[in-house]
Amino acid sequence: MKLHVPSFLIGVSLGAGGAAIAPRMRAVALEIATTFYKLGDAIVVRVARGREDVADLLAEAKARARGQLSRVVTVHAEA
Amino acid sequence: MLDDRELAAALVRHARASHRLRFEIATLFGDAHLARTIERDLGARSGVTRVRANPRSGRVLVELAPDAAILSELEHFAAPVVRRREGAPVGAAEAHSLDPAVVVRALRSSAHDGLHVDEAKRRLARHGENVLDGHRPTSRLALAARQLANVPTAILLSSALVSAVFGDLIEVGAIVTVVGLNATIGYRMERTSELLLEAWRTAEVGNAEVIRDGRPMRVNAAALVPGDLLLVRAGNIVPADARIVEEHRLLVDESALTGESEAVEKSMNPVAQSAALADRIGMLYRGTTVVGGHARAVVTATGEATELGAVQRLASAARSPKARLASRLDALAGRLAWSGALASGVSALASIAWRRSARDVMRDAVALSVAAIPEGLPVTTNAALVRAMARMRRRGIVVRRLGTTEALGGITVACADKTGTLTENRMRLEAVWIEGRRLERSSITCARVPVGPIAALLAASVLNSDLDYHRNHHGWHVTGSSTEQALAHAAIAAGIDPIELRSRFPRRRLIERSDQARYVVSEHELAIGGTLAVVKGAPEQVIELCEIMDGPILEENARMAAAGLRVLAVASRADAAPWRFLGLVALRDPLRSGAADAIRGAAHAGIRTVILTGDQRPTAEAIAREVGLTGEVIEGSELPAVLADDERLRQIAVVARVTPSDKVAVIEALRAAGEIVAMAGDGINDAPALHTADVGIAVGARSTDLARQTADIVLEHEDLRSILAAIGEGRIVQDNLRRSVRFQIAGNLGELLLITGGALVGRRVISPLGVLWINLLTDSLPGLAIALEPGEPDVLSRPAAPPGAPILDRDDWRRIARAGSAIATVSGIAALFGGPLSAFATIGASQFGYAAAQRTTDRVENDRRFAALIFGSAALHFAAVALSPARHLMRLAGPLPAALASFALALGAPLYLASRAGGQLVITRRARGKGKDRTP
Repeated sequence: MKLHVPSFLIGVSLGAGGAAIAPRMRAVALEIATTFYKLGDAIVVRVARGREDVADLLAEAKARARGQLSRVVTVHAEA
Repeated sequence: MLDDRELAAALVRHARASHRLRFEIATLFGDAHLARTIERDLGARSGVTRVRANPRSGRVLVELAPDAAILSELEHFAAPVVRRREGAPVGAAEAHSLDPAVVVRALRSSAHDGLHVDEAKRRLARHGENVLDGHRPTSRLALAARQLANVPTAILLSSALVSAVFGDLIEVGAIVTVVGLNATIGYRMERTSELLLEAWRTAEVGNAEVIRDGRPMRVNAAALVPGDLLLVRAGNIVPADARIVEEHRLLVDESALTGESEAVEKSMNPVAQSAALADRIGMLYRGTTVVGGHARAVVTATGEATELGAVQRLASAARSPKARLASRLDALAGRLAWSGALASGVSALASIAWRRSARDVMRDAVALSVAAIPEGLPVTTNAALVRAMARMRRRGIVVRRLGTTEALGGITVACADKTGTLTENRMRLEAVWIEGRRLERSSITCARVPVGPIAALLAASVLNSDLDYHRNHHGWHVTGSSTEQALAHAAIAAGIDPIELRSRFPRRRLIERSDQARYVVSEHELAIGGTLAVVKGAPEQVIELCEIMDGPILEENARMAAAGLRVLAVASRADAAPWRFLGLVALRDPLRSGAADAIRGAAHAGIRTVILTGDQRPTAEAIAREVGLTGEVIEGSELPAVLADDERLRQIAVVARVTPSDKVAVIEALRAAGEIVAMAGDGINDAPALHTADVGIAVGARSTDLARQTADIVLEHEDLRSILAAIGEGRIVQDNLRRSVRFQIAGNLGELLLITGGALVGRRVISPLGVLWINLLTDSLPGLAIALEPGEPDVLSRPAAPPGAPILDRDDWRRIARAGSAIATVSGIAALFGGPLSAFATIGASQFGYAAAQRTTDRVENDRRFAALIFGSAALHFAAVALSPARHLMRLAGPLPAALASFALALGAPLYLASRAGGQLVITRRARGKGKDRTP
């Protein structure tokens, strides 16, 4: 097998560079992972809160409708 | 509280019908264990039917039984939490009632290191700059449109349109020019007011010292954010609302905001939630001045959210009454325009009956429309107001809104702030009481050599004070509480050098006053060894300490206090010797020069005075006595009952302990009762009232920016008597304008009757252009001469015209009808003999004579301006009659000699009559006691 010098040099420089910046890469990776988690959490929170808001809205609407209906029924019954 | 843990919960929603509460708990997200604990704990409470804690949303749903007692409890506690979310302004509404540490925590700041620089930037982006937005000006386009959107202009423009249809392009040009001229005058008047209002934005403070990242730094005050740790010291103007977290002998002058004349001693202690602004000792408020000590405070509110912002909003929202003059003139012009339209209708019907051409019918209609509207009125009104403004300017009274000049004349009630308006807002030593003798101020300051009991008393007072002294070639500059400053100035005037005194008796310690011990004790080293102790404070308590004293001290104290003086007792002792009473010192915030005279003069002019003050009742009562004001004294808290009762409203002379909104309420109630109200003030707390009053007057060059910018009138000097002079000018303007309006409308009526009469007999008497000439020349110039007269000397010896009175009363209208009919009759007769030219010559000339009869009489006969205006316009009118091109332009036909004869006759006869009979008539009527000017 013949040594392909450019490939060899690229390989060596990539290995050395990787070893040199590996400790710093951790911080970058952490930042990226944190951002993904934050994004994920934000989506989960938004979805959960949206569902709760809808549930609150429907519950309030139902309570109001039933409250009004019961008043109407009472008035008719009294009449 | 949950399992002994404190959870910060924020109420997100309260759905009332479904009895559901939803909270947000910051630590709940992703914590399933906490969710179960919350469900278990809250679910066990009475009234709660169901609890769902969701770790995915970080929220808790609480469903309640309809009658659950917990509901109101939860709402009550949850509400403040909502406001206390991270970085949100805590707001003056609650910060004063909370412990400083709680406020700092709620604002996510630190009492030592302040905010991080990055966090401050983030908050600046979120909360905006610490500036007050103030007034939003009306656009130029809207202002211009407002000038054209009124009945007279609409009728004039319609007339121009009709003239254009019939090809009378000269008429079109003339009418449009007149409309443009009047609109320009109106626009300029309103635009000036708008520009002045816009100057509100300049009420800013410069730099502020803060701690960020643990380092002190100076930042632009506009960059302050909630949570910033602010450093303030004597001389600073507080740049934002802040909760004090650390202080040393901090004294703040809040008079501008609260009206309280004494500087307030601040502390870190929380006070009740319901405490009044003046009692919130733990807070610093934007716009107030630190007069002593220093402090660290955490910013709770910036910009519009500050109390100053709230006051400014109140000032903006307060309804500023439209200039009465403008509205009354608008109403008058509107009525005249409609009467012109009616006359046009009658004339058109008559002309059709006479089978005149459509062109002639329309020309008469246009002439009548133009004749009915007093085109010269805006010019003469403006000139009269501007001249009065210039006369007031020479007396140091700056009028910021033109219409105010006339409103001044109608004032029936004058409300005045006490501190800084009636008084100087600067304490002064008035008297001392030593060895059984009372010495007044003049005797104290005359002492040349600082020895003896007076010097001992003053020296002890100075030693016991906590002041900063600076001396330069201008003299002494003393900072500290106003009471101690007054003592220091008295000592300096008596020949004592406070800096030397301090170095001779260095202070070892100072024991501050407390709620129980209302005195200050200071201990000083003596050069010969040992200590000298000085006590200064409430006389009743200081006397209890003393063993060596003479004379009826407490009786004198009571006498001085009853006279509105602030009294302090001073005593001293060497080492452990018994306390020796040195004397009493009595201080007061002295009345401004001329304040009492001004109030007496106002009463003489039929104007009632009401004092509105933030001070305590006894202080207010003493000032009322001093200025000779009698009437009921009430406190701000009694206002709701008093304002509802018209009878009591008429009785009040003093309202003590008032807030800015109380002042507004009093003024609104007085205005609702039909009074024309002026308000004189100088502080920020007066600004809303200054804006609400018919005439707001900022007193003195030292008045606050906001007061000056809100007021209609600014007094450059502090002599309140100049307000009376301004009212006198206002009354002269009212009198002159009434005479001028009466004159111009009589002329218009004459034209209206002449043209309508002509139409009824099938003749066209005057062309529209001729009418315009008469209105702009023979109506306006003499009208201007009348409006600019110097006025009568006794304007301030009679009551103001009743509020709500129209410009012209029934009597005026009767006289207008008489004069108008006379002018129309003589012009009609001239028209019969000499045609339209003679009518034109007569109608103009007769007005010059009528103008002379409208003058006030007891005045120098040969007023040059009056003569110049009358004879100048007579010459122009003569030229219009005599010169052929002018006659041709105005389509005036008829023999010239007859016209010239009519001119001479019409000019001479009324002048002769006026010079012979006019003066006598007026004098006879005045002798009958008629207050109002009554010229024939």
